[in-house]
Amino acid sequence: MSSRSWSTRPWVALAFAAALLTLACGAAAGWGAGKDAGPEVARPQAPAGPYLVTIDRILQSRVLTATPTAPPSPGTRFEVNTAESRRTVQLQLGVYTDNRSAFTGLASLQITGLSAQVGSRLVEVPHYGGILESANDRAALRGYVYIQRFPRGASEIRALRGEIVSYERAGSLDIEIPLDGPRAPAGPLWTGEREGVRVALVEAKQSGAEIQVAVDLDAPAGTILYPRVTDGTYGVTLLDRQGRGASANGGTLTQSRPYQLRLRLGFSNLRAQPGKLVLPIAYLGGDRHTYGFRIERIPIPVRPQ
Amino acid sequence: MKIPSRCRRTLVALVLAGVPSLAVGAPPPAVTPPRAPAARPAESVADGYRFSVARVVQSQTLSLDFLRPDGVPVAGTVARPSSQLSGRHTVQVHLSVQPPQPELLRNIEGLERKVTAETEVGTVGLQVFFAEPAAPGGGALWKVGLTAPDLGLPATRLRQLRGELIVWPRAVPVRIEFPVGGKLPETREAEGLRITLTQTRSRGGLFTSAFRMEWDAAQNVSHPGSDAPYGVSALSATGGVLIPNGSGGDTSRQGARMVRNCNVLFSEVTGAPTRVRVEALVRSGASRRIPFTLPDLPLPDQLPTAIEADEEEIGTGPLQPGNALYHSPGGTLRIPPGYGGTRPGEPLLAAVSRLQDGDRGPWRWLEAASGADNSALVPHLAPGRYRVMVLRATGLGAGAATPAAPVEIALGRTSSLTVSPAGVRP
Repeated sequence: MSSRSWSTRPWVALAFAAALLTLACGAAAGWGAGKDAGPEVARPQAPAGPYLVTIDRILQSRVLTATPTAPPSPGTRFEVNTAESRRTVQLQLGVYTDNRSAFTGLASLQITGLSAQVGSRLVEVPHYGGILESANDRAALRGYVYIQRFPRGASEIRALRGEIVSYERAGSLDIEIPLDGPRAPAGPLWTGEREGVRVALVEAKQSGAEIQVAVDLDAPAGTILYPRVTDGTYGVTLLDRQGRGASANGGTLTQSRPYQLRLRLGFSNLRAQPGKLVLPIAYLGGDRHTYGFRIERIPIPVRPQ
Repeated sequence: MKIPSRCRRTLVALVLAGVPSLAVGAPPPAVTPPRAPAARPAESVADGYRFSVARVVQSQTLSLDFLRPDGVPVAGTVARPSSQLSGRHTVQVHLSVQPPQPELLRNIEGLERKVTAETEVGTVGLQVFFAEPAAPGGGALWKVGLTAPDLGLPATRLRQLRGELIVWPRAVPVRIEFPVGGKLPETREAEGLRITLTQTRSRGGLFTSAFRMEWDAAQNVSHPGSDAPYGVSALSATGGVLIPNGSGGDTSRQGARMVRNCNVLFSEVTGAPTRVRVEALVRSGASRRIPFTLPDLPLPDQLPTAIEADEEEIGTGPLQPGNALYHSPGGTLRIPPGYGGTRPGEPLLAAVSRLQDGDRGPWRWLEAASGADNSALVPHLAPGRYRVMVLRATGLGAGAATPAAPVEIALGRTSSLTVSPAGVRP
């Protein structure tokens, strides 16, 4: 996984879009008239190391418009014999494993290519996708691939290619940073270490009931650090000395390297002297594994006639 | 230590980069051949009224779900779980109705509620989702949109689409005006429509007026062709027409009379209006129902030619039957000699995009034939408004097309591109 600056908003949007998509698909599945077992079709799937990548749902939306070859006008007859079609296809994928460390160590799923057969040619099909959130799910990951314009004449996806990246170790930390202890005379206001992750409080500026804090996290090279919560607060809580939480105003997260994070956050409605910050952090580490996969012949649903 | 699944998913990035289309191999073709060709008139005539299908829009959402009755699959298993197909199938039929005489257009009230069609899965009901009101003095066709929201997946055609058109023997447009500032209430009447202006009020840029409208319950009163609620507008001292920003009211039957009480609000009015106006269409007499039945209507996916919208087709040859733009006799597009810097008589390709209902159709590249005067011709083009780009056929891939130029293609006529833009490089 390349270094990147993690920003919350895209993930929130992604999660929201995924939720909508799930709803839409659920609605489509439940729509009355069209319940039809149809011919038995085997689930398209392929192994990828300790994982099994499956296609759990294939959704096709098609709009066809037939217009007469000449617009209706007084005294003319016309015929309807052609139609224009627009077709979109969405695949919902699941990644499963019965290996606990593989389950927790899954870092990324990348779709590297998707081809469809059109006549005698195989064409690469433009697509995009994202994560599907689903609570209480035994899948290690759910995602979707969306094809905005599925090629004319294609009745199946010939191949979907991708790869999974996983790490040997995975874990989570709840890092507590005291805000009411003695301050260092120079450098960071406070430093500490948890399971090899160095933590430094580099800024804490209070103005009345508001406070701005900045925290640096630095793990050994080869580790990937990331916040466990991706909303605007990154799950960070600030408690006063009586243990009451302040209102999180959100902030920014900068990730210059996979193993380095800087969180800059604002809080308000502080009702007493600040007590401590709690940062929920997760990490991946150890050997990095890449598993390629290729799922062949993914059928596109056809309505029964 | 264990990572909660929620946060792990936030890390996991599903990277799904789009790539342009690219040929990567050549396995054997597996294209489904076109199904039943169905070129036939989609219209019927009843009592002199011609019912024509102007457009059919079919929407399908199909979902193929793979169930997991045996639990979550794991690596190495050769699971063959069952699959289930479900979905939704809807259709919209846009109808145009041409009365025997244009002046009868306003006599059309609409369709009776019950519109049905037969399909392979039984009788379906269609609902009106829009009806274009007959504008006073405008248009020769009355248009209505019907939708069958739950068609059943296996349906392939609409058989015997039946309905009834409600037509009145007499329809008279009425315009009644009241001066503002006169004694109220004031009542005026025309064609049995009795309108009483009960109140006007002007204050701080706001002008309100209230009406009571009454008519015989055997009549039909509507306000077509007007953006104004209840057909009410106001006239300024200079003759400018003001349209209300808000309105409210109710209509009820009281014995043999229909009564409508309504009020309208005009905001940001500079200077009080001098008159208020009510426009209505009063239909009277004994209305009749004209039953109509359309011939079998194949759903669009049963038609022989299904062309992907927005798809650009290059080098598809001359315009031939089967192309959505082919029409016989149609009209002819003429590209004058030397148009856009082309050499007279050289092979040209014309990209045409048809404008329909405000939408731009996909670009379709067509080979132009040589005309007698070194011009290039595209015959049998369906009448309509187009955008046209021209490209030298021999320069395909290297040359640049001319900018899009508008042209109107008329039945049985030759329409020439009149602009000669630069853009084709020799």
